Amino acid sequence: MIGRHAAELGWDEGALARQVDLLSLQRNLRVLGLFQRFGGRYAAFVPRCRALIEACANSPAGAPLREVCLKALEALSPVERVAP
Amino acid sequence: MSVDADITAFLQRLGWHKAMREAMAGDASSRVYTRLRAQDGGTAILGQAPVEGSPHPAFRRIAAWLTAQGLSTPEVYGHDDVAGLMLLEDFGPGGVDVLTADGAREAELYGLACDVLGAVARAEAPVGLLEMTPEGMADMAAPLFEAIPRCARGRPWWSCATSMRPTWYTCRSGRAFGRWACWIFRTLFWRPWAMISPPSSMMCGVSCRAICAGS
Repeated sequence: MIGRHAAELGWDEGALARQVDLLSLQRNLRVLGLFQRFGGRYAAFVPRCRALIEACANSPAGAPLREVCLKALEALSPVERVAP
Repeated sequence: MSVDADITAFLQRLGWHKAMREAMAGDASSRVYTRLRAQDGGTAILGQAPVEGSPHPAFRRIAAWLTAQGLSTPEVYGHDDVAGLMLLEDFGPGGVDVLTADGAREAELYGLACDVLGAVARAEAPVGLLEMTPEGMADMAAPLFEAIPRCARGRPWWSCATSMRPTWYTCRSGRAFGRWACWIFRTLFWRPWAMISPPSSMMCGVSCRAICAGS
C-alpha cells in the first residue's frame, strides 16, 4: 500500500515508509495511552497496539525512540478488562 | 435545560424524536454516539460532544472540504452547537474491520483508502487548521506517559506528584522518566519534520492536520 501510494504521488517509497513508521509510532503511543486510561473494552485492543509500537520502534526510522518506547511499554500496568 | 431535554428538543426539530436509540461503541474520546432507527427503517447517527470545545464545527468544516475534493462524508442533517449535538447520515455498520474480516476484500478496500489519502495529499490544505508542530506531536503522546504508574527510579508516580500529571507538566517539574521521555520525543519529532522533503512534508502535514482537526 505504501508502494502504491508513493507511486501514485511520485514519491520515494523508502522515504515515505520511514515517515509512515514514525507517524504510526506517534499515533499508536497516543492511542495506547488512551486505551490505558479508559480500560474496559479497550483492553482488547492493547496487544495489537503494543505490537504496532514495537514494530515501528524496531524499524530503522524508530531507532532513536526504541529505548524510550520499549521502556514505556515495560512500565505500563496491565489494563483491566471489564464486562461490556 | 437537561441533556435529555436538549436531545429530545433537537430530535423533535429534525423529526427523529420517535426513533429508537441504540448506543454505539465509543471512539476513545468524550464524544458519545447513538444510532437512531426510525419506524420506516431509516437510520441516522446522533453525536453528542462536550459543549466546551465541541469538535462539531471543525468536523463540519473538514467534511465540507473533503466533499469539495469529491470524497464521501456523512451528510449533516442538523446541529446544535450550544447543546453539543449533531445528527449525521448513517453509513451503516460495515466498517473496514467488518468488511475485511474474511480477507477477501482487504486489498481492494485498503487500496481505496490509499486513493483517498492520495486525493487528500494532492489537494491544497484547508485554511485554519491546527498546525502539527513537533512540540504538538510530542504533547499528543502524553497520555501514554500519564498512564505509567512508576517513574524510572521506581518511585510511585503519585509520590512524584500529587496525581498523574500530564507529561508536559512533568517535564517542567523535572521528574525523572517523564522529563527524559518528553525531551527525547520533542527532540526526535523535531528532526524528521524539519528534514522531510517538500512533497512528503505536504503529505504528512495535510494528513496530520486533517487527523487532528477531525479528532
